[in-house]
Amino acid sequence: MFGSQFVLSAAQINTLAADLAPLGQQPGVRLALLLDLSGQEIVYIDSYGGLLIPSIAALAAGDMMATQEVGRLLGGSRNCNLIIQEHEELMILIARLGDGLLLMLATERSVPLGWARLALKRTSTRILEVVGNTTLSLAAPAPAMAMDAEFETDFAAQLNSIW
Amino acid sequence: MFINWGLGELNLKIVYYGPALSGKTANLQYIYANTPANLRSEMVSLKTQQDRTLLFDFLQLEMGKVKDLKPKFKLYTVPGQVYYAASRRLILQGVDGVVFVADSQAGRKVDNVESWFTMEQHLIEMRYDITTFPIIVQFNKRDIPHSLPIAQMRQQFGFEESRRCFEASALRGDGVFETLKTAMTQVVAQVQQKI
Ligand SMILES: Nc1nc2c(ncn2[C@@H]2O[C@H](COP(=O)(O)OP(=O)(O)OP(=O)(O)O)[C@@H](O)[C@H]2O)c(=O)[nH]1
Ligand SMILES: [Mg+2]
Repeated sequence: MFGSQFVLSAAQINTLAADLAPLGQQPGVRLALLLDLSGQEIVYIDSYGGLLIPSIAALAAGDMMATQEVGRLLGGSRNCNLIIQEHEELMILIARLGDGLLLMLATERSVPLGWARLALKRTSTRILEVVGNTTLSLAAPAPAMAMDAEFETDFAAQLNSIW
Repeated sequence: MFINWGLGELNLKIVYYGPALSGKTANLQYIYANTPANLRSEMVSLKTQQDRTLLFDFLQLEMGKVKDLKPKFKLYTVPGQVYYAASRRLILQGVDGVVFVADSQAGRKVDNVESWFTMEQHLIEMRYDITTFPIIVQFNKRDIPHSLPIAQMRQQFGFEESRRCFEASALRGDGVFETLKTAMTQVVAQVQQKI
């Protein structure tokens, strides 16, 4: 089961972003997105800008969940490691990394599938070196002073001003 | 929960759970329609042609910085129909708090209780401690004539007196934000205890 909590330091986020960077340099790549199975986006490269990343992350995780469930109903008992989608103008790959992470790559159809698969594999290996093979549980301790009594009152005041 | 110190973001996941047709999607629709556009995402709904939730609804809420952190809440609903049990379990992955939406109509007692029981089962399987995990209870559809009295609603579930339950009409919007704000506050309080 995937652990539900993780904290990444600014340095770790930067390293992950650097791991994704080569994907963004390839012409025809629209999106490279690292997320977890709960639908949480972690880092991404949105080549043209303006994508609805939280929605895409929620759906990508839902896609993997649904595919996994189809596999289970068909008698499979192991993980689904890769989803490949051929759309008319796009190709979308969603790969599983370790226990709880997903890496999504969306490209134009002109990008060769072989390149995309290899790039996903290489990037996955580098990412797992940063975050470890299993869960991301508390990779960096959170400074406790960030959430004190003042946080609580500020938070409550904001809620009441919004709704 | 995901804290991204690179961006100073605190990401939290709240799942609206409950029996079929209890009004989970209606809660999110009301929240979506009554939240300033700069503080919410578009709403994603994976539904059947009959408007029943197939996989989930999704809506992200943001707020301004609170001290050094920017809280973001990802709201999900589960599909309530009995045969989507696997989806419900999957959507609970990584959840930080649950809003349980019960149906106040007299005929829905068995469905309410069964849904509550399976929710507890899923959370226990995921190794959550359900004695401390934030579960906010909403008695929805209070606008319907002859809806069950609150005392009977509480009795269905065998709630202790100390548990606060929220009366709502997701259709009209009564109680929707009261429920949401309590869920957000409890989820944040839970994170505070953990870190
Ligand atoms: N009268 C009344 N009707 C409601 C209320 N909330 C929801 N409804 C209606 O109940 C029906 C089901 O509402 P949904 O929000 O789709 O229910 P759901 O819990 O998402 O159902 P599933 O997706 O199947 O699990 C719709 O026709 C709603 O308009 C309420 O507070 N009062
Ligand atoms: Mg629904």
